[in-house]
Amino acid sequence: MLPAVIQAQVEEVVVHGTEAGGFVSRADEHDSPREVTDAASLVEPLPGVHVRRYGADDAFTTLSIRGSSSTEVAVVFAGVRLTGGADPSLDLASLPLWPGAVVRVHRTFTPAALGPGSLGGTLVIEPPKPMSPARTETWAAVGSFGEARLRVGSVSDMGTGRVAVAVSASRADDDFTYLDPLASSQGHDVYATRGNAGHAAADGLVSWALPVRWSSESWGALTVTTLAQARHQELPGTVLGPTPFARLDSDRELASAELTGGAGRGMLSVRAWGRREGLRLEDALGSAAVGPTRADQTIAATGGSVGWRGRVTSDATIEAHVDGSGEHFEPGLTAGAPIPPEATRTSAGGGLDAEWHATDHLVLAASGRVDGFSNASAGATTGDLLPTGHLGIEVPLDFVTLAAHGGATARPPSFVELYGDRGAFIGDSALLPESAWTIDAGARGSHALGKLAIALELDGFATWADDLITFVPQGAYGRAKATNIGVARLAGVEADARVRLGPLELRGAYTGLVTENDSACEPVVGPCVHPALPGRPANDLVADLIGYAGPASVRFGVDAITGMVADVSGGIGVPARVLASAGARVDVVRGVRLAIDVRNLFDQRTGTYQGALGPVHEPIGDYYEYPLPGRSLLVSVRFER
Amino acid sequence: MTARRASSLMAPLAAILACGGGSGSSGGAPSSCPGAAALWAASDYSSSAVGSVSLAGKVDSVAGAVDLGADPAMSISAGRAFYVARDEDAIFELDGCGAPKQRFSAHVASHPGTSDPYAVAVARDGTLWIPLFLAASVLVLAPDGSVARTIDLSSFDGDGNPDASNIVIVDTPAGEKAFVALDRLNPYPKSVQPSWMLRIDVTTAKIEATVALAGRNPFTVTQAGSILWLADPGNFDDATEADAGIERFDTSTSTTALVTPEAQLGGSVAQVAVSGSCGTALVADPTPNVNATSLVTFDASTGAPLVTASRSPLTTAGFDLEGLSWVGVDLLVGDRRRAAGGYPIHVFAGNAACTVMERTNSLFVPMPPVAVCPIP
Repeated sequence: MLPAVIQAQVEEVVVHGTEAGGFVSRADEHDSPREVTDAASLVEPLPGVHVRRYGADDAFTTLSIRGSSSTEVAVVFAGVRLTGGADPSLDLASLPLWPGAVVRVHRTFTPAALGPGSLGGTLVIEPPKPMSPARTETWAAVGSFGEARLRVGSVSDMGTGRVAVAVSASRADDDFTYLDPLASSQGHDVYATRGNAGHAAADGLVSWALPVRWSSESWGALTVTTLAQARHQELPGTVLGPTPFARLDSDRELASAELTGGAGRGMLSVRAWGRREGLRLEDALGSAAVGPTRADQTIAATGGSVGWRGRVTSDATIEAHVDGSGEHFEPGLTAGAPIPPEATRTSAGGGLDAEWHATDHLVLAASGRVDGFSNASAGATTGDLLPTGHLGIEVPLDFVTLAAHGGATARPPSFVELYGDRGAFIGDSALLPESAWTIDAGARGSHALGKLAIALELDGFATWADDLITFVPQGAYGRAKATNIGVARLAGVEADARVRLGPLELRGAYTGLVTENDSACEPVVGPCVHPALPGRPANDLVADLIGYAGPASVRFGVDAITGMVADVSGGIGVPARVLASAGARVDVVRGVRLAIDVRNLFDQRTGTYQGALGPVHEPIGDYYEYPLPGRSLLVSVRFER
Repeated sequence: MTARRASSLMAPLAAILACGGGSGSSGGAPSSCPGAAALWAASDYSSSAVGSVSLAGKVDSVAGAVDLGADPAMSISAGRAFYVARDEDAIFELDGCGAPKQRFSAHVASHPGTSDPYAVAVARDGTLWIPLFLAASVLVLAPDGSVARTIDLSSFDGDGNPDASNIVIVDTPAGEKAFVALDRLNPYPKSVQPSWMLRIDVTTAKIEATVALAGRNPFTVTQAGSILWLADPGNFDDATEADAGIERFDTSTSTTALVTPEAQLGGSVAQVAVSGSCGTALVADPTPNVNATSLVTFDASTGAPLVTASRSPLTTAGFDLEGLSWVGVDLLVGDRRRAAGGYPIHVFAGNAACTVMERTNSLFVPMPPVAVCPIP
């Protein structure tokens, strides 16, 4: 083990930001009261976050932060941005997971040091830290619908350095039954089995850190993180248009190397990274998806950054970064559909995060970036210059800390928005970046009184988003053209609470959201009444009550979603959904924990919608064409030493 | 059999349907909905609405119902009106206010996903005849909604699905016959081979004849007595195809002819409405992914164009005009561009010379219209 002073210098530079810089939620796989099956289930309980699942675990899943669309959320892993021009909307199911995984969600405002900002927040997945204490941990589970999962993580010495290794694998059939709305009739529910919904995936990660001695008093580290993933995903389609033969095989390879060292009153870091993703879609001729029967695609990206973080005065710190990246999208073998255009994006930018502890009760923060993007396809080049930034203030008091932020965010158009796919989607190379102004303010605090311990965070936010890119049907064939017509207003409150009283603990996260889609009208005659944005719940609650008794604990949880509309004009209300769950854990011997988790405890599989002739049953789900499973069981064991 | 599905992105191509058996008479408004003159179906291809409208502008509507689907059509047959929720395999019979009053299922269990019903025709015995665009068949429902029979159409195209897109039942000199339009888009969605009209004897359900149509891709079929008016756009990216335009099909002889080529009208024909000798049509220009629509007129007795796209009294910048129907002496034209009062249905006054002039009082519906039909 390295001396502590050296260890502090060789820790990988992880950009956390501060509350003065923006509200951040954190989820730790070790700390979750529920058994974590995938990355989506890890972030699902966080305030401000809404996970949209298009089926069971491991089905296509997207993330919305404070009502954003999934394309407006950036995803960063090991300092490498996984979202880009070619894939702005990341499938959370494709993210790796390992024992002790930690994720952070920057709700709207993101530190400039994390790279080009996003319009709707950033999900940061931290890789296993080689400098953390040595341990080996294994988690294995089997469950309903053919589910089997294995996660192994290990941190150990490696010569003068340290290495963290993580391996995970999972498979499932996800052949749950759902109410078939086509076969059902009034008073006669017919259930069908979801077909072609399974997956199999394997991930491997190695991260090692080698101390680097720059001088007798200055140490740094070389930290290298590599990730390799392979995934076979069956694509079931919708319940109205099933695709029994559609499959997506994908792989992702990633490498990141960071060199750190003391420089002046801070630390200098240099990072280089590369990412490659391969996708191969296959479907049957005449599929309901009306897409290609074969489509191969490759995304390759590389980049680097140089940054310095340190104190400029005794009470002020800054973190300055310059970075650049290149991304290339290349279509491969394509059959049954036009070949999408090849595209390239290069970007360069710089940013500064500053924090000034003006007094004991006042912290001021500022963050700003300027990013230049250059997009090229078919010999044509376009570019954008995106300035973004925000200011923040934090007021620490005795039992509570107040914080407020305000600023501008933006998102450059994606490749499909700029160039289309030569099929159903028409691009527009003259698109403007999406932009938004957001303000938020809140308070957090914690207090203990005898056996009672309370930690609470409460905040409110408002966003004005303009130039949102919306696909609008054009022409007789209804091809969707990207346009900058979207305007939206969003406001909400977020609450995150943890209360412990003796052997009982209550955890809950609530998000209340009011949205207005100013580019659409409700289905009414007369002046336009703007509807809510579809797919955003007005109320989203995740709560767990946990009881502890010696080495055992039991849990009862609730996931409630109300006030969501399914359609653009806001006419179709999605019925409220309250799903219960329960679990139990017991440490049978030191380092061995058994757990059982039951989700959707009461097997709720249908919701009652308004129909033309009265109430009708439809499958539950954010979008009823993508049903969610009923009750499921997961039995798991965790070994740790 | 090869399945296909018009995704929501393709909805504008697929959704436009004429009123089937609607012959353009104004009919009497039901007592429950005084003044109602027309039924309408509307959709933004995310959700849909249906209702009625009076020429004074009073609107009744049903919206926000999940089973209205995202891609509707409307049929009038034997004095009955139907809203077809294509993506939901659901057919709603409408009352005179345009409100659903009974639901029929057009789902074929053997076909995965939606069967995609496109239209409804009512036979004399009360059976409902429904062409299924994706399931390559005609579904016949008994008056109580149970399945009476299914007529397989898979042999009428090389890819296993002839794309049955419309149906009309007519009393011909040879008896009651169902005429089923087959687009025969192969490779889908291109129209490169002749489209056909099937003649099925309603009593025996036997397919008696296939008639090669003079035009390709019969987009809408509008009945006027024994005559069926077909809008044959062929391919929308070409407005000069020789076998595209307005087609007149005589059900009494099962003969057909292209009476007005699209080149003479200035655009691919998306819909036709005829009142006496006054023919009107919606045409679209060939600009890809634009297809600007215009209202044109033609002499229904000769096919001669009267007002072409270049001199149209109503032109839009995109594919915006959907829904065309005569209600008495008034011509109603749906417009998917929102105005201050809602989505307009333009009202044109027609005269004996087939001159149409827009009245000042547009009607407004709550969502972008896809079909406008007279109340039967």
